[in-house]
Amino acid sequence: MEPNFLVVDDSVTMRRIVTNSLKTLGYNKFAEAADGKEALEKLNADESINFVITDWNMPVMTGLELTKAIRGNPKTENLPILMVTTRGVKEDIIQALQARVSNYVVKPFTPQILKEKIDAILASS
Amino acid sequence: MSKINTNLNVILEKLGEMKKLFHYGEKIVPIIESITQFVDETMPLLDNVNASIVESTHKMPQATNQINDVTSATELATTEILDLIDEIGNQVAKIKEELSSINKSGTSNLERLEKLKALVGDNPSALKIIDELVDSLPVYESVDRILKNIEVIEEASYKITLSLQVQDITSQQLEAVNHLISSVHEKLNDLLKDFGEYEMDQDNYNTGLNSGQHFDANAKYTEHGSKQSDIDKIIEEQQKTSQDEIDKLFS
Repeated sequence: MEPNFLVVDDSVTMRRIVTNSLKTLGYNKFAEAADGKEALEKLNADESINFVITDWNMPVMTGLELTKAIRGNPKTENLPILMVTTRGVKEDIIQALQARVSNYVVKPFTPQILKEKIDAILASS
Repeated sequence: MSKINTNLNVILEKLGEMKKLFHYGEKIVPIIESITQFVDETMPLLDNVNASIVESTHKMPQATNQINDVTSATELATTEILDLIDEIGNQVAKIKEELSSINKSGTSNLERLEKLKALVGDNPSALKIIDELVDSLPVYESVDRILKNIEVIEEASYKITLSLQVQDITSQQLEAVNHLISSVHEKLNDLLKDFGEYEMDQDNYNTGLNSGQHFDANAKYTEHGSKQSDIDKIIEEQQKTSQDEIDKLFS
């Protein structure tokens, strides 16, 4: 099944860069949200979304809180979640893994890294 | 009589103590005068310090707003650059399509001329004209070369897009500075409120996003992807540890 991405980031620039990268990688289905709360609303409204790419630091609801909310809902608990963030210290990564993110990319990223992680997640799901 | 003597002795003793006290007072008075003079001289200085703190505290919201303006301006400019890169991408895609079409028609014309050449047989004049026609065709080599150059342009445009991640990273750094200014502002405000001489100017101060959750104070712009291998190692270690723990449970 073709992935339908939800790109969650409070930075307009980052949302554009991630969606442009997805287009370059040959993916054409994606929606956008500016924070975790908006992402949850979009996930509730559109059941075809089957892959979440989220930033960590966001106002209203962070990416970590979003991950916990997704994992806590039986309807979305198995949704692939790729965290794309500037946070690169070990404690953060452990925290994200404990919240059960599917994989973790640190900014600034390259499209190759993004592809590698998306492919790995899709292969394992 | 002896009682009167005793009382007189006590009075004399007390008078002696009072004398000592006056003597001590004579010594302490100049010191107290110096302290009073020092306080008198320091008061204007303290007033100046207080006024400076009040002024700086008033300026802090302005600094925060200016930082917010910088972030908004860079975000706007970055969006404009991204729009232009998208436009370049669209135009390049059209050029590639047209070049491919030229290439296709060139190939088709070449094939026709090759067929004609076979039909003409041993007529040297006709063969010469056909060869001249072949040479005059828009050559695939140049089309291929142009297509390769276009790929270089596409790659460069994409790299520019990726480099614009710097805007997100610097805006997080600026947000961290904002948070710091806001914290200092609050502390100074509390201090000045204790002196009862200052009312916080909240009118132009955006403290709405002050939780510190929407930025990473340690965000850094490095070479793209340079930190990823370290992250992957940590993930691998953690996953291995989890798997080892699961294995122990089943052993």
